[in-house]
Amino acid sequence: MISEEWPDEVVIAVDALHHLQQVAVPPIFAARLELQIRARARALHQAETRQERSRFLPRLTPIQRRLVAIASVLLALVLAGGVVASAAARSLPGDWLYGLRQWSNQIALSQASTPAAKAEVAIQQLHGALRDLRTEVSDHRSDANIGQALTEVVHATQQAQSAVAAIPAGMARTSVQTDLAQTLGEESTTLHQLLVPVNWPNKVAMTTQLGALGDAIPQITSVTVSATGKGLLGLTIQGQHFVQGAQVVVDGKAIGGPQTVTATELTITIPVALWDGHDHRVGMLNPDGTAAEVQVARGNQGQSKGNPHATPVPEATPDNGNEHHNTHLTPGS
Amino acid sequence: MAALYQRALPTIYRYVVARSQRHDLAEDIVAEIFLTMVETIGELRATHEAGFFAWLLRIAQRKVARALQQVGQHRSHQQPLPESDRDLFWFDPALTATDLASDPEALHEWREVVQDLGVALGSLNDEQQLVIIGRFLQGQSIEALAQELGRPPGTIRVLQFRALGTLAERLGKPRRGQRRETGRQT
Repeated sequence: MISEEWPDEVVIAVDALHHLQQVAVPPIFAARLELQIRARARALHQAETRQERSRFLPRLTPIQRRLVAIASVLLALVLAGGVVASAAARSLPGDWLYGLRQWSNQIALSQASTPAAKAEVAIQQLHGALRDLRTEVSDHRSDANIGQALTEVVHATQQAQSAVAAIPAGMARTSVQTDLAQTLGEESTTLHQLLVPVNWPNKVAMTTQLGALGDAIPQITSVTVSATGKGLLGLTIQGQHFVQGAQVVVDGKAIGGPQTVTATELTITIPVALWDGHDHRVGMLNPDGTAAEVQVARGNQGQSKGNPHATPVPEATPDNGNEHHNTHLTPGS
Repeated sequence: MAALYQRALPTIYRYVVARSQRHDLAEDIVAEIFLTMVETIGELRATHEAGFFAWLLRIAQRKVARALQQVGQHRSHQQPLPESDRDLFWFDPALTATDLASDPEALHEWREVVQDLGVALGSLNDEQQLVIIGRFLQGQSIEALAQELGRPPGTIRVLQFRALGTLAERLGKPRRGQRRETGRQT
């Protein structure tokens, strides 16, 4: 309630407004209306799903479908620019009202009458999550918002996969599986396209999701730090799917291209100053934007004895003595 | 959304009851407002709660105006309702807080004030209504309303003061002792 002293000439109005506050909403009406709202939200969602699926797309090849989609978008742009503006105005992850959409999505899922219908709804929601992610990036929204949109994509992907897996074997499952496969293909394409403009943590997260989709992604299996003298350390990163032009990233900052790059190993010399007495995040970035990162724990200091740089050299490997040290690795953020 | 609906419903319901003067009509209008909300929520882009309420209240203003227009057209072809029937139409003891429902005299006075206020609210423009409802029924701050309406806070204060002045003028002069009771409660 507002706490103010009001001038005499408006007190009667303030008093009347307090009277209005005593109007109570009949509980039966409130409950009935809530049910109506839920039913309307469900009906809208089902109508939207039916509309999208009842189009002639099932008779077209994937390439034809894509062409039709592009043509539709162009036609819509020409005929109804306002519709595009309206679509752009939808709430997105990070918006205060995004919770409403999530709530509506949950209702739509819970109201699906059959496993196949539920899977179709889940696939539509994955389409929506991908659209939101693209909009977040193209609108240059904050990194946190983009991260949230990506989290929604990951969640929607898992939800769609689970929903399809729950359909009993048969024609319906085969049909929905085809839809899911196409949607996951779209997801892979989208993530690859968005990898470049997003920040480092989102690059790593997107790459992880690409891995979950079955794409070949870079992975780091070990990081080795060795003293080379003259205030320098040698960093050797081993793993897979590294490509020429890759960069090494320490604690989220690119420190340049390695001296040697193979599909399974990167080596670079770094100043000791970059490697102080804390844990570090070591990563690599391929030119296509795919990235990998691991947490390098500060090793057992006792085992780094003899290292002239007193750097946080991790525990020594059994065969390399004090010159080379493998690290404790944990998945990156 | 359920929590948001529960927070918005009392404000919208009170506004519609006051403006429509009939609780049976009010229920239809309120239902229409919230169903429109569900259908068009995708078009809304608001980053704070004040934006959502302002958007919802604008829907309410349009729905109330249309409903009153239709009722007006309908009534022009009918005999006016007797006073007692009119009371029955808009007033239901279930609408009020329990302490009022047990005191017929206070209840009668309360009903008259709310009826008068509903008419007076209709004399405000949409922006003034938005400020008054936002401030007094929804408890929004001057700053939140200023942000939503894209106006400086000082302008919102002026809008509020003018709206209250208009309401007071429509409602009549303060009753004796009212200043002491109300000024301290608010």
